[in-house]
Amino acid sequence: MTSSSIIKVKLTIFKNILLRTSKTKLLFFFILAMFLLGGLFALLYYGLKYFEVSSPFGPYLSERLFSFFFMTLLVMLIFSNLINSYTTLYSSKENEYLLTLPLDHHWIFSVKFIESTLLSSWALMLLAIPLVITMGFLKNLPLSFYLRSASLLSIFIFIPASLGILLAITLASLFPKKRERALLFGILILLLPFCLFFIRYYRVDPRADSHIFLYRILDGLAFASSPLLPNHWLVKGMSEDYLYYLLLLGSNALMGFYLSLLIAKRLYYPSWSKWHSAETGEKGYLGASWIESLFQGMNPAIKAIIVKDIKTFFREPTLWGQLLLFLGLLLIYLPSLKDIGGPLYTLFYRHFIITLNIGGVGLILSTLNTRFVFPIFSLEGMRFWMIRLSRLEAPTLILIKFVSSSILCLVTTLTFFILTNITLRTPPFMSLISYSIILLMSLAMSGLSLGLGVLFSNLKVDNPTVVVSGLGGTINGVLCLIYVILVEVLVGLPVFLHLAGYLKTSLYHILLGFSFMGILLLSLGFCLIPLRLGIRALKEMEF
Amino acid sequence: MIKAVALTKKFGELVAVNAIDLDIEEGEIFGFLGPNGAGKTTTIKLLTGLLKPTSGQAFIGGYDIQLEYKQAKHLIGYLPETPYLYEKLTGFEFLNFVADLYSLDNFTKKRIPQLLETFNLFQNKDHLIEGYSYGMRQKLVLSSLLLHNPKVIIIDEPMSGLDPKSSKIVKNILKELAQEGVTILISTHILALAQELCHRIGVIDEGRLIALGTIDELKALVKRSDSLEEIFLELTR
Ligand SMILES: Nc1ncnc2c1ncn2[C@@H]1O[C@H](COP(=O)(O)OP(=O)(O)OP(=O)(O)O)[C@@H](O)[C@H]1O
Ligand SMILES: [Mg+2]
Repeated sequence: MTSSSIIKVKLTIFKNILLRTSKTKLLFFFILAMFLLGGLFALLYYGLKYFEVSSPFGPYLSERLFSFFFMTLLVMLIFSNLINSYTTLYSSKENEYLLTLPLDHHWIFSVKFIESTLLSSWALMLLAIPLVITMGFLKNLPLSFYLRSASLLSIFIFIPASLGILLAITLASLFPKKRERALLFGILILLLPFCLFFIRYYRVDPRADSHIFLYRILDGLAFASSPLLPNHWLVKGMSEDYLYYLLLLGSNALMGFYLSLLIAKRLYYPSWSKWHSAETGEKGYLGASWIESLFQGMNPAIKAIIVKDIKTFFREPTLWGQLLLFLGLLLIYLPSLKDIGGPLYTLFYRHFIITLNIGGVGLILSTLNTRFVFPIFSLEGMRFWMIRLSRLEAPTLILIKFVSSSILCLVTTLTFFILTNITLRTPPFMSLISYSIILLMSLAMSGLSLGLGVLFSNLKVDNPTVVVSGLGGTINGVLCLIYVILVEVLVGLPVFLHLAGYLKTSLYHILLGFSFMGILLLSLGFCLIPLRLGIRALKEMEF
Repeated sequence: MIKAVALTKKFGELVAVNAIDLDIEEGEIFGFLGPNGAGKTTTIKLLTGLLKPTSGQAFIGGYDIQLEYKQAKHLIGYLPETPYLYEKLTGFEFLNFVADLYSLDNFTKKRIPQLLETFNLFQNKDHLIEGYSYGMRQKLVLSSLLLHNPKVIIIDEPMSGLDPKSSKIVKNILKELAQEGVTILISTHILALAQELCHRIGVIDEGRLIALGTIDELKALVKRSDSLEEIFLELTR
């Protein structure tokens, strides 16, 4: 009775939202989503097809890559489940309401478990669609392949969900008073083993022959195919022994759910109560006036906003904590670059490493921007009337946010890149190019996320998770991803062509120049178009 | 019906609720007064089982709110300080949802339109709650907590935001319910309301219950015969 009622009510909410969204808007979303997914599919399909044809290791590579993709998916799912379930279980107002009703605590927990699993997984599952279709097309697989994949995937998501939720409950019980630090701790726990894996396996050895070089990368990806990992069962089950792997995934998912239910029965309500009994009287640090004096002579309204933003940023450990954490993890990986010394230190090797780093940093930037920059406007929006009182123009406000978030992105990633270039002893010319690319990426992704944040603003909520996991947030994430992929392709092209034997050294610099121009144009487009659209939308908004 | 035994809640160093003993009879309307930050909301959260007490116990209708929470909560209708509502539901859908959560039968559900009518919400019943005004929300939550015929009603700040007519309606409902044997606990800053409705009053300050009794008893306590306002100011000086 009660179980069906909560499902019914969630469906009603969904229906009400859909019914009251304009049809053109829905159609626009749909077309956009199709376009993005289609683009991703095309990129994957033709990219991998090229590999299969041009290299003897091709088929092998794409198999490894799929395992690796799903491994990444697994890690990302654990992350988003951890973060989402933490907010859904502990800080959501709905639970406070449900807890006053005569409902079993573990019943409330189960409802939230399913809700947070769906909330955390749907966007990533959408991304898995082009992946699966690519797989099917590359191997000309029959329709049953897609059905099998769909069923496997829908069971698969419950494994990272259980892990994420178990972690969330454990952390909330262990650190009820240090909410943000708890989250950070969890992320650390998750990231460290992943990175150690990476360091151990990802030692690229660029020995002359390009095929062997490729082979080395293959080796590096091998850890993703460990038979102990659920992503491996997933990929395996898609091609062979369907029933076996289905049962393997299913029993593990059930066990995960059962385990978290067992733990929730004992821990959920006590930890919820503790979480809501945090200590009072926390002083706002950084109250000092020296911050204000840094911006002397500025328009007082602009100064007030900047100072407020700086204070908010530093008083929100989740934010700077994540930046620090990412930076720290990148730094762990630096030393592993160093021990390949001597004659192997070619320009191409450096270029290759820089290409990899740009990809990695790009992924981190796109997560951070989607998670933190995209919801800025929605969260600020509720207090927007106050800022409006200061007679600041809407574009000024957006530009302030744009500049500060770009600076933040830049500072973090630049530190990492300067260190990499010192480690690699990169020549100044190439260092300069890498710095410029980082600058462009920071600008592009901040502009994109801010602009989309205004376009898809949701002023009704104060929970960033809801803003981020909405359609706008997903589109933002996907666009960031596409941007990173495009940049990666452009940066990697010269070195790739060289390795494949198509490019003479003399042409290398010219092609590098073209790549750079391409990135410049691409970044300007990704930055300015959404920003302008956002500013225009803002001018027309009413408060 | 409502009982607290040495109920204590600490937030870190701060003792928000300090060894409070309460015993509220069936059919009684009990007023809970105290300055801002005195610990009223915290006490109520302990009584409704939302927070776990640091020590002490709370009972509703004889059930321990921590151990037999389902039975105890079945008896309670609770209006929190800042109630939660599903913004994307209509008022009517919300009440039906609440009825389902309490496993109410279809016969009881028939009361929904009637309740909406009582609170002047019927013409808005098919509008999304996100469009409701503050007072309308308050009234919707009130109707939702009356739906399952609770034996104990606990209200944190009931009248703020209600227009004179609505607050008159609410007052009458509460009086009627008390006559039917429902126990009511009201935390409020509106002293006139307390004076009009409550049989007994408890005054809490800095987590301690500093006075408890009928208005006459309180008058005797401070040796003044003025309004409740004077008594209150004297007590919490
Ligand atoms: N979740 C919490 N975590 C930490 N401290 C809290 C929490 N809730 C309340 N407090 C503190 O406990 C004390 C009592 O708060 P409470 O909300 O019970 O007061 P109140 O009597 O309801 O006040 P008001 O009349 O303003 O509603 C206050 O000092 C408050 O700061
Ligand atoms: Mg209160």
